[in-house]
Amino acid sequence: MANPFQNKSDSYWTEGVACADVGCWNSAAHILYYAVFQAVYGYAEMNGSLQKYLEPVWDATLGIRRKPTKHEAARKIVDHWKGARNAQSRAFKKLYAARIKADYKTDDVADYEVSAYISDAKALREYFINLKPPLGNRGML
Amino acid sequence: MNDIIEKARDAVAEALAFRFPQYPVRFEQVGDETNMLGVGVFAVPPADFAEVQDYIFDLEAAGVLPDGWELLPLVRDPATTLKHYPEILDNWSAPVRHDIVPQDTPVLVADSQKRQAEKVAEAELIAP
Repeated sequence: MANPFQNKSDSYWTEGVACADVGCWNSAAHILYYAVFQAVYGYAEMNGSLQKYLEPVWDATLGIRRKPTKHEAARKIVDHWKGARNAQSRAFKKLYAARIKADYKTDDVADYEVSAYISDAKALREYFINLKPPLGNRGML
Repeated sequence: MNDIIEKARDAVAEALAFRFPQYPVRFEQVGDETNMLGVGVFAVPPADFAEVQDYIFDLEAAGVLPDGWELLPLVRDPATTLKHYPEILDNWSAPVRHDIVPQDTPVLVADSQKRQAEKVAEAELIAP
């Protein structure tokens, strides 16, 4: 079974790289981040683990039961498979930081905030596109 | 802001002031994330971006925040800081450290302090 987000992630990646090639770094940060996010999200959906990562959790600090965001779930999945200190995991978080700047802050994303992480992000995206779910979970969709 | 998070923020700010005393720090909202602290670090030369980002991720991995909370580095270079966040530099001076003296104080900080001194001198001239 293929990752259900593969086609969309592929085309996002191609568009993101094209943006980077012409120096549109805000767009590149946004699109490349989502290309990787979709690969991770698609994998979790495919293997049936997505709901586990999106289940509400008790936040003792805030004293509330909180539903994790989809982005938070994606970071947890990446950390689970690659380790929090892994270069690809960090590239994913650095792209997220660039995407936050691109979408919510007044300043622009600089080339070095994206270009330095394209290689690791590409490897991470391909890893989740090609990752096969455990045998017991295949065919859940 | 919750006391626990307030303390965690203080710990992060203190660690950053120790490791990178030359850069101002400010905490920021990260989109709609309720359990993520955006750590704005300003006037950082591009060559040091990755080091600052990785240090912030290391702090998170070291468990400086309560369970379920995350840090996100939002680092800005000197030109971006001056253009979009000039207020950050207005009242900024690097903490005095006697064990490690920064060899190259960023020009922006020096300029900011110079502007501040000029404002004070100007005010003194105007005062009767």
